[in-house]
Amino acid sequence: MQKMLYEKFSAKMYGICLRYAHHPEDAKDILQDGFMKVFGNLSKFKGSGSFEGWMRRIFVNTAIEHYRKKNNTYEIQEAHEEGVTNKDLTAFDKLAADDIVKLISELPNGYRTVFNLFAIEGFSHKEIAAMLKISEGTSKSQFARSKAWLQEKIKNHEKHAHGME
Amino acid sequence: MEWNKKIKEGLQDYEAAPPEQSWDAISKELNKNQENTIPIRSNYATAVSWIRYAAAAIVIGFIVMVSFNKPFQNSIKDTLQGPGTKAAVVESKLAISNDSLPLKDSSKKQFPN
Repeated sequence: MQKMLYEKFSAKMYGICLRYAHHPEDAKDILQDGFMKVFGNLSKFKGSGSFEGWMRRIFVNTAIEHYRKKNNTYEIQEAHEEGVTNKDLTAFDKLAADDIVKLISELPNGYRTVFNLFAIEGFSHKEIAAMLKISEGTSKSQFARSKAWLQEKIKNHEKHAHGME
Repeated sequence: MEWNKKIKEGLQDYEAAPPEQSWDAISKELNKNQENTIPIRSNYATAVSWIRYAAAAIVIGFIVMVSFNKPFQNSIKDTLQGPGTKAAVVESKLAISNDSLPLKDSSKKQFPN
């Protein structure tokens, strides 16, 4: 049964791990820890929501724990939102999912986690603040900074792509 | 925030093939955990073992009672060899001897022609 679950969900869960990890090696560790947690807590799944959603939450929490443990102190520094321009990442449209994931994985740890939790997982800044034990303002500013960082990276990516042509 | 919606849709179900060795590592870890856990006994197995213990306790109790309790020993002896048994044996002997006595003319009276 465990192998069946692994075969069914491993690709999707590894996709999540890659988004939260800085290196594929870290993603592999998160995948392993996440599945161990899933197998160890199967009896706790009440069946009220979707099983995939339940697994997803476990993997997101494992990824957050992984970075807390690894970096000892979480890489998010308290900051204020002022001075951070709110950019729209319309340039994302031109990139393939693999390229976007690669760019996200290159984000600094704090930016990456907040970006994933807000933009992809759909948590509010209030929820993210509670999860990461930071202020709501910090979550907002980290998100704005991550967008600015990504915008810059996409520009460079495009320049590089045009230069190759 | 149209991009936000698009990125969410595009990446929420993003899949990537996990490294080949990852299942091996997980199954190894699972086996290690299973070796360290005490197997959970079924209710039936637990009940059977309790019945065995209860039966053994009854047998041991009976043996101890017979070995150390004089009045209990005597009562068993009396039951096996006591007057009640003797009387029953004597009575049954008498009954046999009575049955073997020759019948008198009563048969003629009972069955007239």
